[in-house]
Amino acid sequence: MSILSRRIFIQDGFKVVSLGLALPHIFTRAVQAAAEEAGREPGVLGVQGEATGDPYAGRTLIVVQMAGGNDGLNTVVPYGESLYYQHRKNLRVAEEDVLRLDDHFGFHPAMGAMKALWDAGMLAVVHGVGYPNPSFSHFKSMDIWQTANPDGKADEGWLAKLVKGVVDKRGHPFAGFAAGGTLPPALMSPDYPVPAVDNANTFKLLPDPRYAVDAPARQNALVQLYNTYPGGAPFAQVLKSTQQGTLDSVDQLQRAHAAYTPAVEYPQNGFAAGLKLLAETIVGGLGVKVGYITIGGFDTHSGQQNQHARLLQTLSDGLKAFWDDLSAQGKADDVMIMTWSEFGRRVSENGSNGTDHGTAGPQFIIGNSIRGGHWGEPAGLANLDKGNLRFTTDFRSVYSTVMDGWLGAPAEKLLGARFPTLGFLGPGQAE
Amino acid sequence: MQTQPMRRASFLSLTMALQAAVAAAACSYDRAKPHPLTSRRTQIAHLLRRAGFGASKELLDEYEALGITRAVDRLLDYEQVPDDVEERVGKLGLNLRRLADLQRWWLWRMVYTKRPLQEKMVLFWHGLLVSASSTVGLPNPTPQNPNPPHYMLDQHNFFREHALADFETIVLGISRDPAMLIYLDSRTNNKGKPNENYARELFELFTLGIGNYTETDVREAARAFTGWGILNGKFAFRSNNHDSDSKTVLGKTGPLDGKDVVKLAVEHPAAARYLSRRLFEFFAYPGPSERDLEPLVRAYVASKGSVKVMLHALFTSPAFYSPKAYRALIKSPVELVVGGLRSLSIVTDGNSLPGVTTRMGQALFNPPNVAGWPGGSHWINSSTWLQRVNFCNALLTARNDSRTIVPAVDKMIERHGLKTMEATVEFFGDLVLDGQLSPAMRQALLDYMSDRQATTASPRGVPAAPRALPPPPSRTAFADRKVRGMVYLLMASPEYQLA
Repeated sequence: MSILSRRIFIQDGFKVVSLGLALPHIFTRAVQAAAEEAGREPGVLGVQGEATGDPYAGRTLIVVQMAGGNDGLNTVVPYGESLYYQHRKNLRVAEEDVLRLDDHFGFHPAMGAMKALWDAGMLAVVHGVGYPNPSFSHFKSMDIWQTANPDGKADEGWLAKLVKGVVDKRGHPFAGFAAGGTLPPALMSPDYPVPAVDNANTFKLLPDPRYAVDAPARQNALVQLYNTYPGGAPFAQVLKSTQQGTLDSVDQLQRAHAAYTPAVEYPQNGFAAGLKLLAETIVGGLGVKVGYITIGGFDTHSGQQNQHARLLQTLSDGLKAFWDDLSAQGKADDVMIMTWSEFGRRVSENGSNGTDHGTAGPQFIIGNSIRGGHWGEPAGLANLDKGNLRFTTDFRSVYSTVMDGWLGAPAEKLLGARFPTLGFLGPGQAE
Repeated sequence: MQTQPMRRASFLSLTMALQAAVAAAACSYDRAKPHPLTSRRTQIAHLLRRAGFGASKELLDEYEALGITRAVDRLLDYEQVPDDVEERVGKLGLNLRRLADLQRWWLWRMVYTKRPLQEKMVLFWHGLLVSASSTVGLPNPTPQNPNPPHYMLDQHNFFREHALADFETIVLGISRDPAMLIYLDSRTNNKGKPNENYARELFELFTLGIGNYTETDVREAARAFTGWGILNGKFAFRSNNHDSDSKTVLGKTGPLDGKDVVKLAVEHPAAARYLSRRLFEFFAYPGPSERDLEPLVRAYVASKGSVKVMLHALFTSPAFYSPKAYRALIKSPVELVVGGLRSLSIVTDGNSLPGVTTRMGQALFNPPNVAGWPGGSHWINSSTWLQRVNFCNALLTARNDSRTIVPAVDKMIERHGLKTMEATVEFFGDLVLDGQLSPAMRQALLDYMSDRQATTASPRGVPAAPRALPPPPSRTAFADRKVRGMVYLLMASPEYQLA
């Protein structure tokens, strides 16, 4: 039975049946299977806690998109290189201000919280990440990263492909989860709905307040309208699968939301609120395999100094709070974080106290069991390509390492090619 | 920046792939009947949804009497149509320096305008030539500066004034528009150390599209735009900061300035195709063929880029009324919200509307990034779907609310002499779905109204006898519960999500 048809009846099985509706027998069987599945497992229809002996079973990957093109050079600052100071006359992080990682690199001073994770050996920096023939368009470059495809063309995002059938063959509604009102293209698929939630409090189907008693009949009719909408009609896949996936997930999310109390105080901003929602789904055992969150504003063509510092502070403090919360709730061992941005910035600053679009940049990996430190070859400042860094690490190597090493997914099959694995999850020493 | 809606990729390729399925679309209307767009009533309803925001029964009647040709002319020659919406919106007493009031002011105009195409084109330009108040800012009066300029409103008014002008006028105007000069950093683009932000997006997103210019064109064009800035709230040329040396842009060499670059861009053959495609995909359907675009491209070339001539070509083209065009777009949040209010003739002060469209993913004056709203299937995810459906619920279940006067469904039943459930479904189905309801949809609505259990295996082609509405006085209670519920279902349906 396909994921979708199964999902429909996991979703509405109980409600529909309790209304005594006539269902074709094949569906009734699916409902029964869903009920058995539910009865066998603790809590919601989670994949966690199942005694399969699968070491990857309860793991979650959190992907953090730094949208707009993060200035990698001012994030992981090569303060030991004089060329850096030649290119950055105004937009420089002074040697005395960096948070030193070693005698060559240091974090931007706003990243104290992430520096603490580095010091604890839980943070890896992957250097010089990019891809051949870099695009300087935000949108083309995001397409490339989000489809893991060098021409940016694919009918679904790389994470949708990952969660759709490989990591979670059972079509669990929360295998993928996006915090925020927008579904990122990396989690888009024409026939696989991933919930995008900006606010758990409004994530409900509202009834006519005067006739609560009519609510089941209304909801049932609504489901009927979507079920009978012809599969070949315009936008049928996205409309039908979204309706199904949404009604499937509302109750579970509400239960997780009601049961969750954060163990730390999160900063007051949208990014931290999204991280808190991700923590809720993890603590609530909803079975999230891939959680996603975006922090925007990195397109710093002008007035970069303050804006970039503010963004890095938000990123760093938010991730630290998230990590502390998960640790206090006993979940941190099951979670790994990966950041990305569509490109870095031009090596030389422009005349607006900003930087234009560039190429390669660093990615961060955070986790209790990862091998912290530097990975990948830093992109040298001496050998530029028309003023831009030459990438040293293909982003698909990072994807491959994470898919294979953290989620136990067949990276080569998913990416359509083999990419060298990096060592941040494997044995051996950091570089 | 973290408080603004999350940025997202335009993800054009994925969108196109998702929408390719649409091209081979089957139908959600009754295929036994002739195609919906062969009836004049449906053509008019389709035209008013696309070139406007939908219409009440009365307005549909009025435009239907005109016929397509004169209806298109009336939409395009909107200066000829008297409209007092400007004065009426003034009576709401809004403070346009506040974002929510600014959004509400525009949404309210869309609901009550008599010139719907003008508002629709302002929305088109706002989504194509993007600036966002999150970067540009809103005016903040101080004792020293009690009347600071309102750049976002000025830009909006520029779009309204030139909604159907020629492309060069619009692109040159927006290149010198203070909100844009701020949003894409032209005002700090100086000789010697140029800032590429505007030059790149001008080519990539505003006029040509990827593949029609080089990185060198971007760097050279950035030099041409140096020195463009703002003085006293208006465009100013800062000659000291302008690089007057020779540059080569799109194959032309000389001491080019920004005006020259705009001209080179709009006269480039790719510009005719780019604008034609953007208009076609906004108004007709995704993924047009070169042949579909031909009438618009020809109009662009023949009229030196007149948007009015292009739209006339589009709204009178066979493609626009072809089966492929019917219900081929997802309604944007603004279209859903404004359209719902218009078709049900709801009187409202619009207080809740800004929050509603924002939660559905469309905060006016704040597009997510420089590519605007990606639209299509990007409008639909679990959060936005719930917001859309819950908005329809709010429309139909508002009662005794001084801000919103919902059509009294029981009065409509009396006024139009509706005696049976079937007739009631037909009446409201005509109003919000052009009467194009599939048999399965009719069945589900009737089952809901009569509290009959759904029978997926109900025999086809055996019409049940019409079921009478309960007699008065219990009819009022029935209408309040079941007719409102039924209209909610019509609007929450997959079909209604489509324009």
